Order: sequence, then C-alpha cells, then structure tokens
Amino acid sequence: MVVFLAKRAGAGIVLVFVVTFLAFLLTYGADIPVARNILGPSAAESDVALLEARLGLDQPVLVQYWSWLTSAFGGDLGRSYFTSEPVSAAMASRLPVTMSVVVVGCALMLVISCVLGVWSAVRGGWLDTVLQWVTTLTYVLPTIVLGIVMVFVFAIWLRVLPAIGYTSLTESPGLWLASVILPALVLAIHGVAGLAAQVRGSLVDELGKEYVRTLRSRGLSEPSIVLKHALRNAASPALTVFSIQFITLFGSSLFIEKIFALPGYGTYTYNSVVQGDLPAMMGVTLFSVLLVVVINLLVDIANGWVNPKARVA
Amino acid sequence: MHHVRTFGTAAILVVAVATASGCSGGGNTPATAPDRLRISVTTTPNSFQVGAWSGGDAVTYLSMYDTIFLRNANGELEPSIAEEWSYSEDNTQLTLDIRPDMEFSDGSPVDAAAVAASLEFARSGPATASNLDNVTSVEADGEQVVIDLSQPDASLVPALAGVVGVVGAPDSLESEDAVLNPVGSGAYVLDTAATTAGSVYVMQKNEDHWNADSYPFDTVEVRIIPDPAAVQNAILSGQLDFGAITADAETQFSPSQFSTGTFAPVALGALWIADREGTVVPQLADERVRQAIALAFDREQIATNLDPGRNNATNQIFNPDGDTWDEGLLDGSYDPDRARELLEEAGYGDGFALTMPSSVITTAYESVITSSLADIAITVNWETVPVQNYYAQILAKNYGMFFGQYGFTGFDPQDVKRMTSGIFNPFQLSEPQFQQLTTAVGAASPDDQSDALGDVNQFFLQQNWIAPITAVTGKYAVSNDFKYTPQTGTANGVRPFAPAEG
Repeated sequence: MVVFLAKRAGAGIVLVFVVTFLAFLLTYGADIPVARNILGPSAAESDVALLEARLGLDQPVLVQYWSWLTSAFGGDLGRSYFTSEPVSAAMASRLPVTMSVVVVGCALMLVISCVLGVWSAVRGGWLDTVLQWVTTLTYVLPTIVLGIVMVFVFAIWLRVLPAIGYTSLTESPGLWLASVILPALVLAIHGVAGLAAQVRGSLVDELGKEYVRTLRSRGLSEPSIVLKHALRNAASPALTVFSIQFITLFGSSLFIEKIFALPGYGTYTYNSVVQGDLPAMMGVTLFSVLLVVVINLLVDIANGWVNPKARVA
Repeated sequence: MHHVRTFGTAAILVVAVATASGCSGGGNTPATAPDRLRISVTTTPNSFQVGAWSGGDAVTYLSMYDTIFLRNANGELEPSIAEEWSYSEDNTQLTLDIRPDMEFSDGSPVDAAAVAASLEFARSGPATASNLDNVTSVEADGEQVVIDLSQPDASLVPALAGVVGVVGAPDSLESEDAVLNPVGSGAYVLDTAATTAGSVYVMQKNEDHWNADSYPFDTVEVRIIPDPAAVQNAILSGQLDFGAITADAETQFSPSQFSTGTFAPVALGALWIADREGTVVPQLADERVRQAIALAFDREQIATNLDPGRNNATNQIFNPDGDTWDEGLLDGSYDPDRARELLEEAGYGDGFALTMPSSVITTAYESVITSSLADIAITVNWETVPVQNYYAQILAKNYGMFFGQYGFTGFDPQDVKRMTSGIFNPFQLSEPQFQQLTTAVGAASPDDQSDALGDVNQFFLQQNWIAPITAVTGKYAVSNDFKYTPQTGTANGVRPFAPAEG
C-alpha cells in the first residue's frame, strides 16, 4: 500500500511540475507587454524597461520559472502585478466568495428541484406540462437577464437585499446570507430546470415499478412510498446530474460575480488571464492542479483500500 | 404556474433572509450617514508605493498621501506640502518652502529631508522616473528643498501636484508593506481591517492632518466595480453614494433622490498619424495627406450622434477645459471638399488603403472613422488585435495610424509631453520646430506660457501629427445627500466631494 501511494504521489508531483511549467511557457509565449499595460500608453520606454527589470520580466523564461517555483515551494506565490496583493492571500479571500454562492446555490437548486420534480411526477397532468415548459424556459433564459431582474426587484425596488458586494460568514452570518442569497438564487433557478426534470423522470420510472405496487398493496401511505422508497431509488441518476450542475454553477460564477460585483475566484481567474498577471495566473493554475492531484490521490486511496486489486495497478 | 411558484418561493426565501439578516437596503446603512462617503471606481490601485502608482484608482492614493502641490477644481495650483515655491531666473532651479509641523501617519515628521527622499525615490520609480528626467539633483536645505534641472520643464510643477509629487515616510519608501499599506501624511489613513485589496478600500480620516477641516467625511469607502450596470444598481439601491453611469441610464435616477451630471473631459479620442516618414504607409509622409485626414471628420455630427453625452467636438490636442484650447479654431475643421483637393494635389486623388488596429478601444469609433475617411477615398481595413496586445502591436510599428484615447492630466504642458511619448510616438519621430516650441513652453514665464502653448496648438493644427476627433467625457450619478464638483484633469482624492448643503 505504501509503494502504491508513493507511486501515485510521485505521479502527482510530476504532474504539478509539467502543468505549471507548460502554463508558464504558454503565458510567456503570449507575449503580453505586462509592464507597458501596467504603466499605460504614455509611459516612456525607459520606465517600461525599469518596471520589467523590477518584476524580473527581463530574465530568460527558465530563470523566471525557477524563481517562481522556488518561491512557491517556500509558500510564496508572489504578488499580483496589477494589484500588488499577495497571490495566496488573494485566492484565500476570493475562494470563499465563490464557494459560498455555489454551495448555497446548489442547496437551493436541490431543494427546489426535488419539490418541483416530486410534485410533477406525483400529480402529473397539467402540472407536468407546465414544468416541462418551465424547464425549457429556464434553460434559454440567460443567467445575466435573471440576475438583472432579481437585482431590480429585491435590491432596487424592494430594497431588502444588497445589489453588490460580499460580507464574510465570520463577520456576520446574517449579512453573509443576505449577500449571497440573490446570486445563489440566480444560479439555482437556472439549474433547477435540468435537475427537476431529472428528478421527475426518474421518479416516474420508479413509481411504475412492481415494488411500488407491492408497497401500495401493503397499505403504505403514498407520501411514504414516494419519499422513503421511490425517491431514494430515483436519486442516483439525479445525483449525477446534480454533480454536473455543480461544475456548471462554478463555471457560471464569473457572470454572477460580474452582475453582483462579487470579489470572487472566477473574476480573479478571468482578470489574471486577460491581463497577463503571471503570478496570479500561476497561483490559480497551481491551486487547480493540486486540487486534481489531491482528489485523485484520495480516490486512489479509497479504491485501494476497498479493492486490493487496484493497489497493483 | 411553476415559474410563478419558483419565483414565489424565491421571493419568500429572500424576504426571510432579509428579515433574518436584519438588513434594509441590503445590509447597508439605511440612510447615508453624512460622515461616510461610499464611491466606486473602475480599476484597482496597482500599488501604493511612492513612484509606483501607474493607473487605476487615484482617489485612494491621493487621499492617503499629501502631494507637494494641490490643484483645485479648475486645475489651478495651490499650496500643500510646499507652502511656497519659486523658480530661478533661468527656470532651472525650483525651490520649495516646506510647510512646518506636518506628520506622517507613523508619527515621523514631514520635513525637507523627507520630501527630498521621496522625490529622489520617485526619480527611479517606474511610474514616475520619466516625469522627473530633467531633474539633476534634489537637496534638502533647512526647511527648503532645492531641485536642479538640466533644462526648464513646464510640466514639472504640475506633475508634483499629482502622483509624481506624493511624499511618503522615508522609512517606508522601500518597504514591501507600503505597496498595500502606505505611510503618508494624507487626509486619510487606510483601514486595513476593513479593506479587501482589489475589492474595497476603506479609509479613516487623519484628524492630525494639516488641512483636516477641508475633509468632511470620517470614513471613505472606495469600491472597485468595473461593470457600469453593477455601479448603477448599487447607487439605485443605496449601497453607493457616487459612481460613473452610462448616458442611457441617466433617466433611471430620480431627481428626488439623485443628481446626475457630466464629468469634465477626461480623454482625447484621436487618430495618431504616427508614421510621418511613411515607413509603413508611405502616403502619411505627405503633410497634405495628414491634413486631408484631419479635415474628413464632421466632429459636431459625431458628438451629436455617437453615444450622445459622451463625446465633445474637438480638433485640438488640448483639454477643452484648459487655457490653450480655442473654440474658434473649430470653425472649418470639417471640409471634405478641401480634403479631396489636398489628396489630389498629393497625387492620391484615387485614394489609398491603410490598415488600423481594432480592439475594444476602437470599436465604438470604427464605423465613423471608416465612413468619414471613405468619403475622401481612403479605405480603412481594421485588423483585430487582442486588447492586452494593443499597445505592443502599435509599438512594434505595425500600423501607420491608429485610434487611441489619451487621458488628460489637467495641465497642458504635461499633456503635450505625454501625448507624444510611449505608444503615442511609436516611430520615435520628432522635429526641431517641435523641440523649440516645447523648450519655449518650459522656459516661458507663467504670463508668457499661454502664448507659448498657443504656438504648440497651432503647430499641431498645421502638422496634423494627431487628428483629434472627440474630447471624451462621461456621466455620473450622486446621491442628493452629497455634492460632487467635476474636476479638470485626473483624480483629486476625495476633495471633489462634500455633504449636500442644507
């Protein structure tokens, strides 16, 4: 088991080196004039050269990569070229913003989808038809439109929730929820369509199976049959859709962060790429690849523990 | 029905959350407290270190640092750290009398030695070095600072009223902490606990500031919001007191709650006819061709029809709010018949084609540039360039002419220098006559400077190195609890803001 884990960890470390080096090369190859972009169009060439030297951008790419790598090993991911903020601190402050919105959005999506899906499957008829219409409508309704409507209604018209900004959970749980509920709802409503349809479809299938007839013949109440037995069996495919939706929601967070001016991870990643903010981009890359490596390692450990044959592979 | 139900569920949920969180207006202070100002800017301050600020939000930077001089709403110079100043007879030595009894936020004194140290540091700062390239030495002498120049430089004093002239505590100049937490003597101090870099900057008033009475707000909150729609929503919902808005959104702001207005011109939108030796586009070497290009634009029509409220007609490089710009010179600036004649005389009666770079910077102006130049038989081919590579492509001398926007500084001599450097002069061209004129501006006494700048204006109108099209401005909205006075030139800290009268 130890050899197995060592092999997996070794492969992970190699992957980190390869991915970060490739990312560094690609960024370098994009030839974005970072110092010029920081200093602006009027800056003299001498000033641009001064800043390039200060940022180390005048060094060969291998020297730059080695410098970044050795600092990263020491826990220092550098500072953003454009905000001067330490990259590790920036990521640590932005990830909770995006995760808050996505996690609350997923929770809302799950609850609303289950309610609608079960209701539609059990009642059928016109309700079912309406659900399918809603499914189509919410699929085509852009997130940005939904966001604007929500902001207008709840922030501008009713003035019950903030239009922009984020309050951390530790600062005030109430204000944290107030700051994430609108963006989370926008994400959730957009995702409800697919998940509710999946819940409904799976549940309809389950309700048509023989064990349900058996349960009914034994006199179990309908809510008990639906919620305790059929829904549990229908959950598996719905969970697959839910996991895909989670990734989709994470991807959609960039738009949501823009509408609600949230200082999130999506905006940070996007800006770092567009601006050629190398330290920020490398920080994001390193975090992403470490996440994949660690999760894969954990899965391998679990597989190896459950299935001894997997340890040999 | 389900849709209604879904939104109904959402409504119940958000109201419940709002109730639980005890917030009204989204967790904001319900009515704007007069001692707290909340504004938005579009870009993040890239560094608070002396000599390193190079764009982004100057409101915070110029609130936490005092500058050697100040500029008022009209762009005129006022004393600040320097109570008085004087030039030697030949304008090559500037002497500053430093205000006594000032302190940095760390308690150390703001004296002549500190001012000299900051200026010396700024001479090697990547964002400030070229502004001080005529400075040969900076010496502290008692309560004075003496700056020696290699030649007269009219843009130096104006520069010292802006980011070039900020003064930081000597011990902090090289400190890495200063990039996020400056040690200045400004009217405000960064509240690091309430600040999230890149998102929101909160500043508390420095009660020991020499001019504290001029700053009415105890707390200033500056949010970085690039998206204008988000800014507008935040103002409308009461989360912000001030921000830039789009012209078409102005009607959303009820006069009972908000005031709207137009900023002073912030930038020159123009064609830079850079290839004046005809390296890439041979036709541009002919002065008559450049003049024809300048005559092709109906600037009044463009200002009226293109994004109304955002463009002002101009055919001069100077800020229309400045002393040099002359409205009378706009007459006759549009004459396509004369333009065609000039092209005929130059031997290009059948016209010619040229390629210009296209990016988000140019998009709004491309159709009007294309059609105006097509009217005099010049065909423009737009070549898409990623915005982050726009400057680099121009500097690589790939284009003979390009559209650009230059941000006015508020001081005409400084503008002349800056709009002929960097990407605005990619072919590194100049002319003895231009050098003489700018030298004359630098050497002129304050009384004669206006005439000297007028000569520069005439030079540009004749030579057409630049074909100005528009002086770009924008709209703002401010809560009726506050008053905002539009400023000439770049940001001026929070001094343009005051509580509403009455």
